[in-house]
Amino acid sequence: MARVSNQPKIDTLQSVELSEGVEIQLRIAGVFARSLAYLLDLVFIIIAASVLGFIVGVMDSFVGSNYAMGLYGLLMFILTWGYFFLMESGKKGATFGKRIVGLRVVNTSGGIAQRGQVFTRNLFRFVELVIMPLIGLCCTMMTKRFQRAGDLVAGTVVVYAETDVQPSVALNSGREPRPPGWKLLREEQAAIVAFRERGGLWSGARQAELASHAQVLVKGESSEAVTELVGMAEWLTAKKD
Amino acid sequence: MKLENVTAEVRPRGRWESIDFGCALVRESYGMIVKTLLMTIVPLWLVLWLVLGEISFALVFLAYWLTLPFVGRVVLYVLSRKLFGEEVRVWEVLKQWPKMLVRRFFHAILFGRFLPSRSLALPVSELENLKGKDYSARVSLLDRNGGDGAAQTAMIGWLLICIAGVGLLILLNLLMPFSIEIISFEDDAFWGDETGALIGKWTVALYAFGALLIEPFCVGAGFAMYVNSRTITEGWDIELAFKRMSSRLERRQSPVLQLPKQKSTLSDTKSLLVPFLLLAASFLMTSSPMASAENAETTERLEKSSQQLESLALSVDGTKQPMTESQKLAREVYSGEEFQVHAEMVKERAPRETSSSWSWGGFDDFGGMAILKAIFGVAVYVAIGAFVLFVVFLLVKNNYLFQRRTKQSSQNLKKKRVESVMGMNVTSESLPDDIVKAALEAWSQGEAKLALSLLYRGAISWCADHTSVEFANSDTEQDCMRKLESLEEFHQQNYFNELTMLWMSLAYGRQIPEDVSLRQLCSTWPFSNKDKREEGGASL
Repeated sequence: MARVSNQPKIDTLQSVELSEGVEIQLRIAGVFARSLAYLLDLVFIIIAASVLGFIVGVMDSFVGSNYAMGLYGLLMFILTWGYFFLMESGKKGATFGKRIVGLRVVNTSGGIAQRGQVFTRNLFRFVELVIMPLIGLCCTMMTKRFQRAGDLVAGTVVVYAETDVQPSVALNSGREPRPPGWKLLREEQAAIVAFRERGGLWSGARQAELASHAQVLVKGESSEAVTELVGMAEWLTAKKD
Repeated sequence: MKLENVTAEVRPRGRWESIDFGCALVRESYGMIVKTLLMTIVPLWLVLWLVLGEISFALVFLAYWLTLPFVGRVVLYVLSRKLFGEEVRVWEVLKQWPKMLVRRFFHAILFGRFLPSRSLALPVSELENLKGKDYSARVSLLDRNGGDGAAQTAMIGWLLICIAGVGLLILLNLLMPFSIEIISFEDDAFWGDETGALIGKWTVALYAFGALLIEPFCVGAGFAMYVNSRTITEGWDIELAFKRMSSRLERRQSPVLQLPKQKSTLSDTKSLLVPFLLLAASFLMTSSPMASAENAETTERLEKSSQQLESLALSVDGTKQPMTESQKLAREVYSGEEFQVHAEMVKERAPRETSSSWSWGGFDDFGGMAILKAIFGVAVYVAIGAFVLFVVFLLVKNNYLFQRRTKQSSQNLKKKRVESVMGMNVTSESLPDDIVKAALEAWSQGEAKLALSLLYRGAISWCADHTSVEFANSDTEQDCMRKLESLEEFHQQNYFNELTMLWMSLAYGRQIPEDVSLRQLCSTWPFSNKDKREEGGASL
């Protein structure tokens, strides 16, 4: 037990300690979500390129083909190199694809990524995806914070922009608050509270089964145990003077 | 499998986060996974390659594609045990491998393969051993809580496999010397009879690589979504937390917070001792009234056994005296988690040094570094000297480059003069001095071809000498004409064109030119060597 509880548990959340000892947790996004976002971005770029092509094609007859081709080349350059940079250094810190999947680019301490950082990570995009896709892929999968080489160099990570709320139905027994009788660890208190918050999703039998695992705290059997636990959750969450 | 020993943070997660969680699980035990895959699926694939490769590589590809669920079984075996804190050994997996291969074979390659959310369904058949109706009911339940996530994973996974395969090909090409190309599409041999087989072989090999690299992550993602789904629908995380809590509290046996409702094994007086017990064993033993008789003895032993409580308790046992209540309690308390010596290795990145501390002065802090610094200094000078010598050596060795430039005139630097065009000798030595005269002579003797060829060769020879045009041996008459047309300084274009037309119609069309036109050509001959030389001399 001791061995296990002392090992840091595998998790996708990564703690970052800020100044003055404040600890926050970054919800790092992994390779699958990011691949999907990139795929969407590619689709957008292709659509934009074909629209540009059409517009330039119309302009061709007015301004002459040399100018039109030059303009097209310029616009394509801005599109392919500027799309990621401009979008990611914007307010949302995300391209359209990233926004749809719900991602954004931040620096490793969770703050807004600087323009230079965004530039660097997108400069590497070309190297990683066009010249050596295998390196980029392996790097993203194997690093602890799912960073590709560009992210490592620029000191950025891709995180989920918003927390998604999990479905939960709370149990409400109407029982008076009841102290647990033991000094509990934070994790244990959280589990009891979560039992009340999410208990409504489970069948009565399952609730009783779960409550039976906490037999040290509760005396009663099955449904009584459940209500006792809910009472403890009430006590734990109640405001204390 | 003990659920309390879970090595990862289980909690309800969103779709993407649970997929990432699976990736993190795979990443943590990726070395083990690769090892086991090398021992299990790779030999199988090699056998398939050798056997089916004789027939067709499309068949090999199909076989690999169909046997991918077995990769999933191996990976899941490792992952599920890793999640609950069991370290798997390779030989364990190897022992299980025949079973994994045979068990529900057709289910694996058919249902396990074609279901879009197969990575989510894999744990149901593998870990829960469900079959038939139970299985499909379970799978459909799980599907509701992450089926689309699993399908998306499969789709993106397929894409990643392609990227990994292509990436390997690109990487191999990059690492090879430039002269060797793994697949050269320009190579004529490539487009020979064996083209299909070669492409097939490469495709299968790259697919196998990509699948071995990516598939574990897909399986891990499916497994994580399975765990997540059960966490949401069954409260797994809470079950784990309650179990951990129970085992912790049972070991404590006594509530620290004394409450009237709580049943206690201790009387009030003894429970007052608990804080003391927590302090130190030796003091406890001396202060406990019941153990006073054995005070001196135990204290000695305590010292002997470097004050380890465990050995103390043993020695009490050894005297065959019944353990007192407080001793028992002390033992229990001391065997608790809080009193174990925990060693934790914390790796911290050394603070980033400022650029100034990278200067050589930084080495002065270390004693032996002075010598190293001196050696390095010498090495730097030696390197600089060697470089200078090398540059000098290069200059001396290639001195002909400079000699040419200085000694020879720019005319001689010109590209090698062409000696023949269309098989005709166009050197000035092969031509008579007065070309017009020789041509007219030949014409009057009825040798039209000789006459015109003399004129034409003379023209080409003059152009090669006096203009910047560069003829090649392979140039046709048209090529020569075009090359001269592109020259700005060439003013005899019309004449040359006319000459060429006459020459070509004679040479290829056997049309003898009219007397007038030939005589006109001769009379307006612009390519006189004499004049040009004089002009050249004048300008010099």
